[in-house]
Amino acid sequence: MSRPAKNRPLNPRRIGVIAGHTFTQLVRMKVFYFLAIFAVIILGSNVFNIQDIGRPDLEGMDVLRMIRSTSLGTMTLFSVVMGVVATALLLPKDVEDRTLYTILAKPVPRLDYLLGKLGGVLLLIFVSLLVMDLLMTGVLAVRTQMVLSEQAARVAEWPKAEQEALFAEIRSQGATWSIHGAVVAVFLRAAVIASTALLLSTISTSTLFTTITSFVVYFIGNFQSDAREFFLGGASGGISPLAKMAGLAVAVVFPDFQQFNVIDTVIEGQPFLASDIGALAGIALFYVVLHSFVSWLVFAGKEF
Amino acid sequence: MRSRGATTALVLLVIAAGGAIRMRFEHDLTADFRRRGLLAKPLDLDMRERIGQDKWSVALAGLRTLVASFAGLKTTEQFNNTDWPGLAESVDTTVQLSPHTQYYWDIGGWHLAYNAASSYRYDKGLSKLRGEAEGRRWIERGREFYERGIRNNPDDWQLSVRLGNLYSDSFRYPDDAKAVTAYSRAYATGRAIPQVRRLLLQARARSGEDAGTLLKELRSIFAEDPNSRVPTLLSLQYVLEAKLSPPTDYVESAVKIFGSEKRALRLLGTYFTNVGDRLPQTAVEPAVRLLERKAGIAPEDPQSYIRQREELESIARIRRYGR
Repeated sequence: MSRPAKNRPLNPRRIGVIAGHTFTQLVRMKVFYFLAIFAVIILGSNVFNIQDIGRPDLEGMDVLRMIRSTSLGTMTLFSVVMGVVATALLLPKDVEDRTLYTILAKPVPRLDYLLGKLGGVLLLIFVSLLVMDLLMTGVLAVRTQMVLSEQAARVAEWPKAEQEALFAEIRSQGATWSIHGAVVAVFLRAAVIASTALLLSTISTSTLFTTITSFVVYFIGNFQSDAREFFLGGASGGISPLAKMAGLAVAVVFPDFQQFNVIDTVIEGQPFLASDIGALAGIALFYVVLHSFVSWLVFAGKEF
Repeated sequence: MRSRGATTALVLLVIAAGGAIRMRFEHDLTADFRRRGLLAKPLDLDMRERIGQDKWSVALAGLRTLVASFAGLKTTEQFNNTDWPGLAESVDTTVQLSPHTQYYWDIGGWHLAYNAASSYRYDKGLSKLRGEAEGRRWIERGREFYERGIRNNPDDWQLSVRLGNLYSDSFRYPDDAKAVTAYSRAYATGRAIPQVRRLLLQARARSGEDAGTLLKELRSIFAEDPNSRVPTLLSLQYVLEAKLSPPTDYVESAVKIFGSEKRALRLLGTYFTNVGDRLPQTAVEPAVRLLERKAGIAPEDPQSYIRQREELESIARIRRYGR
């Protein structure tokens, strides 16, 4: 006599099915229309060309920087908004559509359900960022080539070393591996905010509350490192123990979103090492696991 | 089944434990990113007043460079409207938001020290003395701006070169000792292009350094980089050799370096007429006079470098001191 398979949680196939369904559900909400807006923004950023200010050596560089900053800025906005709104929407929508009752009536562990939902949102953000990255890379590659050709004609008489230095400077503002690393950092930040929204949505039953609270958490998260420094050392003179404890509370409860702002220096042209991406990925994974676990703790005790 | 109170306590405990675990790691990671210049300093309240509440919020939300880009765009409009105080504020805001973008420091310093300074200097609405004083003040602002840029980006050789060029500019109250310091800093980064070593040598020559030391350095440059035998440095070689031992035959000394009388006249003549360069001119004028005489060019002839220099000097005097 065969025994029924144990209903263990963390079944990748089950999580994958829920994630796939969530992804389809979000795609049907016409989320990808945003990619058209992104394309318009990235093409529009080509227009910002400052010329004829007596510095032909800098001509074209500002356009490349503008493309990088507007593209990554738009990606950040999209991923954070999507991470919050899509996640905040999913649980209440499943309750409203009564899909949740159908799923939970089946032998689906609640942890798998939550991870599947989060996975679907992250998959959607990942696919969107991938397409945006490809678009940005294409535009940057074409534009860098245009700037290089213009400058090559201008500096044809220059010594080789000087020409190479200028070309290297132009290329560093184009499509580099570091800029792809920055896109990965954008995704990691979105993963953290999405997992935070998931946690909040298990506590609340209102989409609006979850959305607003998640954005508040996001903004506070950008100051979290200041609160942490406040507690850990730096500020000692004249600081009351109570204030230090407040710093500790903020540092412990809120995620640190400021560390993902390394994207800014990558836009400035600084290299971004694989080990840095690894460190950020480790931190992001920790947050996702922690928030998912806490979400499950809350969600497991909920009655529907 | 756990009670609601027990669940809340467990949730808080897990969040606190998670926070405690990650706090030290995040602290070290942030410190490492800050040390390596990957994370900028937090924005202060003064910045909030300057860029406005909405942009400040945007900048905080991880879109700092985007706000910097738009602040940078504003400077172009201010440049076109010659709104120099507004431009100074915009470039300052831009570099505070994006302190490691060499472009912003470069273009900002350029606007302040060159465009704004010239605008005030030649402003017909101001008295000559006032215009001159204002021009000087903006040149100083430009220099300070470049200095700040270098302090924020010590490994950037290009900003040091821009500052060296500014200190060497004959129309902008040159300071050769500071130009030498700036070029030396650029050269010391080890990343500068070969031209920087030549610029440093020229600045040292302007500051009146010992001819023997300079000639030794010049020969070392020539030995290491054959492409560096550019007209200015060949002419400088002639001058330095003449300083060490005054030539008995100017033409012969020049031909020895330049190869022929025709080339010697062309290159030495160009060096002689380059008034803005302020490079030492020991034994150059007699050589040019003799070479022109041999070529059948009279000093009054429009082709004559002697005449061209006189004309250029009077133009430079007007640019420097008058309108």
